[in-house]
Amino acid sequence: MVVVEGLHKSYGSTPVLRGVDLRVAAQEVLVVVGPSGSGKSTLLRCINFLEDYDAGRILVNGHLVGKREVDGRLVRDTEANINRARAEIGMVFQGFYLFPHRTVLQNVILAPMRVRGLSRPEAEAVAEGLLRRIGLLDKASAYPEQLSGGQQQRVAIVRALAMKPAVMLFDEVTSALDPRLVGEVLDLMRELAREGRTMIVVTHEMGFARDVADRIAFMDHGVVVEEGTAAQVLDAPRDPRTRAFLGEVT
Amino acid sequence: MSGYTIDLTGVWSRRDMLLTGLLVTAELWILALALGLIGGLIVGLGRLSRRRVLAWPSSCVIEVFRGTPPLVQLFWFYYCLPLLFDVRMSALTTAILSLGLFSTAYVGEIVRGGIQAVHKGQTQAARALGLSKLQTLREVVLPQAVRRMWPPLMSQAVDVLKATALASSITVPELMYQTYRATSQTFRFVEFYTVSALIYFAICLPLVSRLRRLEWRSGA
Repeated sequence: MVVVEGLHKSYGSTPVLRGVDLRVAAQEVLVVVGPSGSGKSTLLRCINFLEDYDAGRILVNGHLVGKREVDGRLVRDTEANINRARAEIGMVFQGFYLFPHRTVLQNVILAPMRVRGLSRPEAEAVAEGLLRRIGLLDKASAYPEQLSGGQQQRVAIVRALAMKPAVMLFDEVTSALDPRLVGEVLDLMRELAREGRTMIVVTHEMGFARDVADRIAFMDHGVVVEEGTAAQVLDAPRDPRTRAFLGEVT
Repeated sequence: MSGYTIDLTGVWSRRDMLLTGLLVTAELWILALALGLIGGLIVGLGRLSRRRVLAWPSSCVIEVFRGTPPLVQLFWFYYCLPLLFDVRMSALTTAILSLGLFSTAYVGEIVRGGIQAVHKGQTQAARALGLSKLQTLREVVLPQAVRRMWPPLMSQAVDVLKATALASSITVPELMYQTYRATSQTFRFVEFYTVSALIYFAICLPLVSRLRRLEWRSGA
């Protein structure tokens, strides 16, 4: 479903990703953990091409993301193709980024209408179904500022789901939340994992990682140091860097 | 006091002169503002563009028209443009064009500032959903930027209104020009200039008070 091969990315002369290889199968949940600055967020941002990368390949559903092959070399794809690829990749951010001038419902129907070409009634039907599911249908005509942080983040998740993406990326989605609001967001993500969605989750919540992860990848200094099941990586880490990191967070 | 006696009969008998002037002022003001809004949106977006062919000319327009006195701009358009490029325009058209470019420069900076004040995450979230650059600008960035742009735009509208008085110096028959003509017929300087000032003030007042409410609401 998602294939990352030899991914390199630098900001100026600072390397952030130094050869990342990852595979995520359909319906699999990959949780990426690691210290800040290890390149986890940059990895997610490369997967939906919010960041261009220097070398390597990213395939989602068998299609290159952000690049196309010309005479055996990879060049930046056209804007239209990049947009099309992004529509298949849902992303949820640490800072929610709901559109403050649009109601909850308007936030959710925007992309399905403009990108997928759904009619308003069709998009609203999808949006209302999703909002009902997360218990926020009564907030459909509220503005984001009228919601709690947890509610905002759940709407942001639903906004991404409304596009029916092939894979969902979660970038430290609970880090900006008041601790008592973290639970409701994690519960929703657990549910999504259970129903077999393909997900790549960057998080610092180790308990949650253990719950939902089919596999865990530990990143440090721009490379995947260790990868395996939760039991392998969290309970019996082989690499000293993984051990050191887990020692700090638990 | 110097014992000057106020006599408004001259003003009253020349009220249609003032009214004619007021209508020309309104025409000049509205058209220059409209030009400034359209031009300002273009150069404001242009200046933010990563493409040099767009950014560079936009910056030039903004810096030149903000960095020179509007009176000099007006004279330049009125006297130099016909000599250099053999274009013939009425004084009113010249003034509309000149003041329109003057406000283009300021509106351009207001547009740029408004857009830059929108959090980068908004653009990222929109692009991550698959929206194109143009859709992101139209549906997500501009609506938020426009809210921030309202107060400075109103203040700009007031500035342009006041600048229309400069057009009298190139014989545009607007309010200031008519006031000046009336004083040369009646020598009633105090009456005419005071009434004229009050007319300008009366137009500005609703804008200024609305502006104050907007600034109060946005906490500025």
